[in-house]
Amino acid sequence: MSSVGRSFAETMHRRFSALAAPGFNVIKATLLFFLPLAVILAAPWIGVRLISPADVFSWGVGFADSAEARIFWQLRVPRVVLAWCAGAAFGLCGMVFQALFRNPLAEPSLLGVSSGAALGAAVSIRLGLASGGLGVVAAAQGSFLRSLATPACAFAGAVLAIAIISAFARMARGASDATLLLAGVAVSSLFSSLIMVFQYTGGAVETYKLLSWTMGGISVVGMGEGLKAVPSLFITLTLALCYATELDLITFGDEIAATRGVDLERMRRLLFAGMSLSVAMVVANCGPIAFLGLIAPHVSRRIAGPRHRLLAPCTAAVGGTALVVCDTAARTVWAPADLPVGIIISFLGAPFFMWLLFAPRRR
Amino acid sequence: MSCDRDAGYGDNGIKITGLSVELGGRAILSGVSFDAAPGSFLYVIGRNGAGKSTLLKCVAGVTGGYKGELLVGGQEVSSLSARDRARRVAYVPQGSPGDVPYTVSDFIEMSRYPWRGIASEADDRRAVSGAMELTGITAFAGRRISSLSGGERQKAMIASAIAQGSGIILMDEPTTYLDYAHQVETINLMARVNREHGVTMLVVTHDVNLAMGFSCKIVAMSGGRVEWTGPPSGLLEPGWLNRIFGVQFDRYSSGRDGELPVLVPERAAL
Repeated sequence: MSSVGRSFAETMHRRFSALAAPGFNVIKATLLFFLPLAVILAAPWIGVRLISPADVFSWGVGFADSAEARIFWQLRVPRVVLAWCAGAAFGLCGMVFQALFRNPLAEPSLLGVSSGAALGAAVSIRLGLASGGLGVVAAAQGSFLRSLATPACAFAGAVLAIAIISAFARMARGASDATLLLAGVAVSSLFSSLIMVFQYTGGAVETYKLLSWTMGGISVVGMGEGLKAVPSLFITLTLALCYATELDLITFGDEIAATRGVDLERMRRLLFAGMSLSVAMVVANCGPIAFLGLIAPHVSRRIAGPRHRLLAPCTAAVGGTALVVCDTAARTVWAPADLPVGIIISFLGAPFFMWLLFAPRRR
Repeated sequence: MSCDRDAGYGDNGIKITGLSVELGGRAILSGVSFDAAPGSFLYVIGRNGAGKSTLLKCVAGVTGGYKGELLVGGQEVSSLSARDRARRVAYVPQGSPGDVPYTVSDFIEMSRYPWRGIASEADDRRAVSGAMELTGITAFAGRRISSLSGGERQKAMIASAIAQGSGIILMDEPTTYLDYAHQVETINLMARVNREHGVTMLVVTHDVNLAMGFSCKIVAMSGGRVEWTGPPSGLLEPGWLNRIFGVQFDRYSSGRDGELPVLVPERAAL
């Protein structure tokens, strides 16, 4: 990259000077910045128990040492941070996959990555490696390792799925993107059938844990866990912004992209690997949250238009905000039960998506 | 036109020697050799399946894995990086992009991709606006490509190739899907780009009259081989047209001095 040293400022200027894109204006940009911010700031106070600022900050002392303050800092804030980053990462992965496969239906779970992670988690739960929960009494000193077991296995499962699809892609060199997508569907259903074997043959406790995990849920204890999706967001957003023009060009087909100077093979390899690993990391922590990777980019295209340098930050904002809103609803509507957020996403997302598809389009 | 300029293969000449391509075990091109002088205008003609499009894709770098020598501006195509290649060769594929949501000006701006970090922003802007003015599409720069008519789309594609700023432009059947007015417009546009900007044009067509009307060299292909090369008038010698296209042609004089006759394929009596 010889251009980096030469004109970094110019490149950055060019990347971000797209705010004049048609249909995108100052009002939208302001909304896109302040709406997510407002949601992030408001969400931690809402829950089974409404927390008032007086419970968290007390005059003179700074931070209060109350039960509410502990809930706020140990449970609510990390959960909002995790949800926002995870939602943004899911959205960005969906956006990149949709561009790479030139298919508006492409999203992480369609490519088998999510079900690979779910299979990994299922294996860990079946082997009794999973921590906490009903009946499984983790020895105190082993609980940290045990808390890592399920995410680690989920990650391994996701990587396995990626490896299978990549190997297939290499074998079937020159196969169309649709073929690759179908291979993802095949891998996905193979893994799903294995998960169902685990679910069917497992005990009641295992089956319940497995089921609730595959529905996708965000529950964290402590800020350390809350930051687990930050690397995913960082990777996906960096890649999406660096490859914004390439993603635009690939929409026109491989021939046009290649003859405009895009190194397709390198781009595909890098983006596929980066996105899949980010998804794996998120899925390992939050479970396979379906639909968000599909819906966030579609909503964002309506707001920001098709150009990826603008679409990428918008998708991140929409995905992150949507997941925080849904997660807040998940822990509130059925209180004191904590619904898996995946249920809320699908419940609210499906009608919204239908409306999006059939609403008259502005030209 | 600069037909008689020596083929120095400096900046934007093409030299092809013994080019062979196999796809799926079938020979698509076998031993194709010809060259295009810098700034010349070549038509590649032949029947469907003669290998014309594959030839063009090889030069564009889309189809790799060829045997033989294929030089653009003195450099082997397969040894160039995608960006280096794109700075030398622009390609207008057959048909047009489908339902893409981008505006015309977005698309033409994107064609400056191979110059990123090399050309200045002012250069980019000049290239984009120049290409849009030359092709006469400034009026619908803000419209989505998916909302354009076939003729307008073709102009946008050509504008994008011009904005790319390469010395060679390859076009695959640029007039096939156009009405007469847009055909004439496209032909004049190609001629202007060639004459005024010195761009080497390599155009694939099965329309023999198009090739006869404006070119300094015709490469006629059949069955993956070069059947005949030469100036348009040479094609009228007995036997060649039948060998290339597999039909007999009637000739009609256009009635204007110095113009080659119009060729109409002979039809069986009904």
